[in-house]
Amino acid sequence: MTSTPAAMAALSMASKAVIGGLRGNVSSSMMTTLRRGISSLRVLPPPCGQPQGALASAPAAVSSANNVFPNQPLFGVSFGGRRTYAEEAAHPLAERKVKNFTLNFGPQHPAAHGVLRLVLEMNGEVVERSDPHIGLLHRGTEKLCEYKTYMQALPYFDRLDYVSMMVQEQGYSLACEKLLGIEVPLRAQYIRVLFAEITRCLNHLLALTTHALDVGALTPMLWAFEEREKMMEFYERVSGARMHAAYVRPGGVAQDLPLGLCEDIYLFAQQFASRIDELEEMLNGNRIWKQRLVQIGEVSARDAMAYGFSGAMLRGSGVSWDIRKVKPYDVYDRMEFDVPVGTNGDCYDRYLIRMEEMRQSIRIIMQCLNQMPEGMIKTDDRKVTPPSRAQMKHSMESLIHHFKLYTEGFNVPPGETYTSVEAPKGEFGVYLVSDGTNRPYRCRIRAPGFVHLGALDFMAKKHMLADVVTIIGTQDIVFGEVDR
Amino acid sequence: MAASRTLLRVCSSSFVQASPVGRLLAPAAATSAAASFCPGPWAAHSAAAAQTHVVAAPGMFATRGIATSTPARYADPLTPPQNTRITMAEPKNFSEVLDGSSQTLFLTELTRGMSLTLKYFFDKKHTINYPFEKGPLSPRFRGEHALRRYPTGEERCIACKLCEAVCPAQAITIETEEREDGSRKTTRYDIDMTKCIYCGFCQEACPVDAIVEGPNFEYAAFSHEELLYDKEKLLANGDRWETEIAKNLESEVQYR
Amino acid sequence: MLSALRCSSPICRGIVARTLTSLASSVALEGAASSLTSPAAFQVPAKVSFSSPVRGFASSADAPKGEEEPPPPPPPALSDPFVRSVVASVPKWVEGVCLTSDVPIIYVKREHIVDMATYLRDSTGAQFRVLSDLCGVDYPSREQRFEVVYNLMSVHYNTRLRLKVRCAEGESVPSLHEVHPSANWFEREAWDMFGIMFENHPDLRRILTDYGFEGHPLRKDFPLTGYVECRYDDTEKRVVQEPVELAQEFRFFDFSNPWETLKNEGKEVPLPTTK
Repeated sequence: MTSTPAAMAALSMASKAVIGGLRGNVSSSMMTTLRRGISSLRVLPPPCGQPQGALASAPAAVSSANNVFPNQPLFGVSFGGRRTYAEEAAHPLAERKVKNFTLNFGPQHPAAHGVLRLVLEMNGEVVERSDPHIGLLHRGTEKLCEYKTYMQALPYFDRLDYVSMMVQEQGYSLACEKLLGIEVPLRAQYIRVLFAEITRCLNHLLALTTHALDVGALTPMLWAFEEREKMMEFYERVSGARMHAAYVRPGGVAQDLPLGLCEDIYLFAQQFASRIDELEEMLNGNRIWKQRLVQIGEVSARDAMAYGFSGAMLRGSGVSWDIRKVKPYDVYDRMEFDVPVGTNGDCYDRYLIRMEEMRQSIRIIMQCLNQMPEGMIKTDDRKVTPPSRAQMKHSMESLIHHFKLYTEGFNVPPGETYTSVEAPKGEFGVYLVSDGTNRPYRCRIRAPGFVHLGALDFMAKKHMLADVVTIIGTQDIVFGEVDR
Repeated sequence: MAASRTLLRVCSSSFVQASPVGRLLAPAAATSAAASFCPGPWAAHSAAAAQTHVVAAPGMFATRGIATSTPARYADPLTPPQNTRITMAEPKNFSEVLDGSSQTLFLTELTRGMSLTLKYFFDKKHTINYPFEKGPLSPRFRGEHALRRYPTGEERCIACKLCEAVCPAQAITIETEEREDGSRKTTRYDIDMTKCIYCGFCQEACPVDAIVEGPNFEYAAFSHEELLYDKEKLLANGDRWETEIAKNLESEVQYR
Repeated sequence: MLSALRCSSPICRGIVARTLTSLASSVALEGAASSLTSPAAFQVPAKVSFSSPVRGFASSADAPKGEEEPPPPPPPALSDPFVRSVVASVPKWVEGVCLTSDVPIIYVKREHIVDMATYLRDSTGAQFRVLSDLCGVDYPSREQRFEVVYNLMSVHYNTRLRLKVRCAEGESVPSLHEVHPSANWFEREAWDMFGIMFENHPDLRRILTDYGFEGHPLRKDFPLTGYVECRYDDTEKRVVQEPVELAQEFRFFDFSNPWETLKNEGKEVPLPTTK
């Protein structure tokens, strides 16, 4: 397969422009031309001058392998579907039917971020259609929640998006609290926000550095995992588990912060900014990184909204939408932070936004630490939150509540709510329908990754195969939540 | 270098305040317009634009510039504000062209990246030699289960079955009977460690601190059967880890 | 009934399915007598069986017959100006309105959901451009068994709105994928999980369950453990599916006590109607 002279010219000019360091508008439009040129390529007749014998003997294998040429004879003469040189000379630019090549990607590909199976329809190296097959990690979380009490359903939320655990617990707890109509003590809200932002850093570090790993940069991941380790230690100190914390509960949080944790988080947050600087030093200007990301997976704001994007995917397209801002939950209304918004809607913008969000997370963490009030960490409603050990040992009523809460759980008044939080990946929503019993009637989980992956076909269309990997990386897919 | 920094448009903190629950067309400025079903000139987002400013993020000659100059009165979040430069920061004069070209030619950003990597090469190592060195564990760590005893040797479990009831994975199975002395004890206490999700609800529920999740996390096994723990195994765990568990519970007493 | 539902053999399943359909039809007949006669443009059928299907399906099997339903509470004043304006402008599309403490809910007639979504997306005062969620809910005791819930979001006005469409088993709902492309996968999921059909959907395949899966797992009559389990067979060198065999039965602890304090416990929220 050869390419058109125009595309070749574009290629050479683009490469010259890259070498010349002028990746300005000129070269970028060249790249676009190049991409368009390739996508509209058609297979042209083989160049003249090949020996006739080769043509006569080869085509059978070719046509059977790829179905390149239909078997109908042209002009009465056919060599296994191919035309004679006389015909070529007469109609040199005649189009031929080409069937796209179907390529299976995953589910065990390291760049598939888990168990994504993609069936790609390729035109050469250009993706014409992509069909993600998901569900290989489907565990029926929504069904399981219907059979658990409200408290028992909580640990399942850690296991959805297993890199942003506490934010999802927070989303579920907020939904329960809304139905219960209870208020959470201020200290608990601060703790939740503190750990939600730690979770955001955890998630973005993983998202960006594995994205970089897919694109070809190994080092940032090794550095970022050191920081993630520190943050998972905070998780472990506060909840007892490094990932699946089960810490944020309906009505507050499980336990108070241990002594000394705030100081350590402060020390960590102080040095974390320079780690982000290092990551940016490695990636921001890197020519390979930019060549792989700039103008890849461009989504306009209108499309982003139509496809239901949220989080960094939506902000990358220029829509200033952050649930922490537009509908603050917990104490986000007391926090001062900025929302980065991109303008080009490509992968590089989304990368910059995630970097900036980590910086803003540090700001929020610092504010939480400074403003952390004294007080209770669970609501005082003994029908919802269990009493403390001391109370349980000394008061009969508390003991009864303890037993009731750990067997029957709490009953939630009938009603329904759709509560969403700004998870690191986007809008994580819980649509909870209660019928007044102690188990959810329906617990629908709206995972941002599911929606984003649904738009993969739209985003990856007319991109190269290697760009699909970039797009999966920028979508920040985690299969725990996509498959639920 | 100053001309080529990464610029990000950042919307400041107060753009749209929370809408009252259940209200539509919520932002306060738009409420009056809401009744007439035709809100004013996009009151919702004008506040956002009013405080839009530019934040410069450190980064070397990233040519992507996203900058806003005038806080225009835009409201449609789809259209960027007036005078927003959507640009790849084209070089403006010859010196910038020369600057960019020379940086590309001399692989400046790659060299800087490699030198940073080299710095890390000589830096202090953060890895630990795992089986011999271990990371720190907090007293709250939820590891392998253990059934504890009183100092007299009497097992603590009173077979109240709270842990069995609260276990989300239904990993715990308890059978019980009355002893000759009239105390209620378990005859069977099984935990399927392959079902367990280590949420810690059992130790939270236990009124007598009998079942705990101890600090041990090295109990991997080759077969499924080895991970079906029965009462003897759990009690043996309790005897083995009693010092650590007791210490952890002691230090956690004010938080529980 | 419960034990029959857990039974994994296909014969038993057939029986269960038939029982369910007969049950559903009886409920439907009962409901049809009293409802569906109201001429008002937007009125919810007054008689919807409100028994609690969570407490085991068995309860709903014997409950609906002859049980007196509590009278629905009086409809709240339709105070929301936006919802009022929607109802005023497109009364023929609206079946009912419910103002909760969360967001307003508009019950839309099934055949008009596409019109309604387009209207809400494009009208200047609404701009509900984002379909943030679409899901099904199963109420086996109702005559129209499924509810399709659309959670819409308007970025412009920072508001949310919930649309609901009700449909019976075997009926189909128009697909929204042309209005909101994000509906594509959501509808595939609703089809997979509930068996709700969507008309004009370009690609209504299963999405989350296995290739060749049978049944719709989120229906209330589908057992939690499912019917088949699969494992890799070493002799056949492939994955084989077998009837589910649990080493330990799923234990359903029913701790509910007779003296519950909540009002309307075990009842759904009645759907208020608008006038």
